[in-house]
Amino acid sequence: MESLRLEHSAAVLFVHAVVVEAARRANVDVLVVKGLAADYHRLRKPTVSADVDVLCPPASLAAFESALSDFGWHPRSVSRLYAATANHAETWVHDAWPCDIDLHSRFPGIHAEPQRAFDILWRDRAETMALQTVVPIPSYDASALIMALHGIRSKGAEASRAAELAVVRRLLTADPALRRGIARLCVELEVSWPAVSGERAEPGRSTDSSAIASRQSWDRRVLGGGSPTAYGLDYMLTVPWRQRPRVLLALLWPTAEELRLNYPEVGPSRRAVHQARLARLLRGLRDLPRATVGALRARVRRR
Amino acid sequence: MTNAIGRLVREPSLQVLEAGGTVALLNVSRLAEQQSPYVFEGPSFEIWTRIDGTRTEEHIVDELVEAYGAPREQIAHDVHEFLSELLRLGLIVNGDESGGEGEAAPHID
Repeated sequence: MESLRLEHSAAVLFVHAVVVEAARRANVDVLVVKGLAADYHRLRKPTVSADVDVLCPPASLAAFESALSDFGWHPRSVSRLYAATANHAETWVHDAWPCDIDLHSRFPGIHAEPQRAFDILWRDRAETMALQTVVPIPSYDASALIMALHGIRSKGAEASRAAELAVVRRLLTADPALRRGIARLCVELEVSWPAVSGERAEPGRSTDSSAIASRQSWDRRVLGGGSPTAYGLDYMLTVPWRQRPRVLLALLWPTAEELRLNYPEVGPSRRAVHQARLARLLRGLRDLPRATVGALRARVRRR
Repeated sequence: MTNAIGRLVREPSLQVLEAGGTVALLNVSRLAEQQSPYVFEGPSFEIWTRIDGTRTEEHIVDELVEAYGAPREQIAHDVHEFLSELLRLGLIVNGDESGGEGEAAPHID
């Protein structure tokens, strides 16, 4: 008896069951965020998600990953540079599944300490079904907040994500209960209320140094347009001075191996690698002014 | 029919998606060994949909003979082969042997 390859839309449903079973075997709590949660709370038109996003607290990550490994899943190979600059999620894949798992131990834009942030989201959680499995998801308020943060992070990159932010901002105006709920969560989770709401007034800011660093990094990336260049620039600004020339070189002119890990479609010839490097460099130069302005604005904002 | 299986019960923890003459199912209780879903179409789908906790192997053979008019011996052979494989994979249990009232015995890894 053979396993046939599933349609993507069906696979997404089954992968939720895999995630819940892995959490059960590892005896850890995880939340499925974005796709299924946004659908359940009717924050978007029902859409087939590209992958399943899972939030797992850092202390539980090793156990959860071990359970996923037992089920044949493994992290997608990416270059060290990409992993360092992206830093918010690791993509897990399985050769027999046409759907990935994006594993987050923290969510971009939430600056509270990751375990505390997870505990708050878990405290308020809701549940929905995927096939015959009960799936824990963030509450309505938290799901709307996460959708807004997702939209903010990449609003320059994709119109659909910018639309997600716009939907949440409309709901903030139309739904006072949601507005109160998100405002409360912004304080608890150390999320920028102005970034989410588009309004100026901001609840008190944290004095916690890791939260401040996280917020500065977020500001550089978001104000810089959410492009890979903004992410790269942010990463470079977080490494010690003496490492920066090496990081800069790696960002501008990655090795063929690094390039192929991030762009598997690049052909085997040296010419193909060279062309891909040039195209990437041109995209980087195009995005550099905005990324630089973003980094400067983030610096002004934190003063 | 030799060694006919009695009342057929689906493994309760199965994840099942049925649509348009196809059923996909994932055995989460054995996910380490069966890492992706099985997909049944055609005859295997016809047999699977008749596994409902009340029918026995003989019931299923009777219904398929009546529905398709094929020789009973051939259908009985195919059904037995398929059900035996489902049992081996833990996708179903013999409800008469598990001692429950339609529930499968718990699977221990």
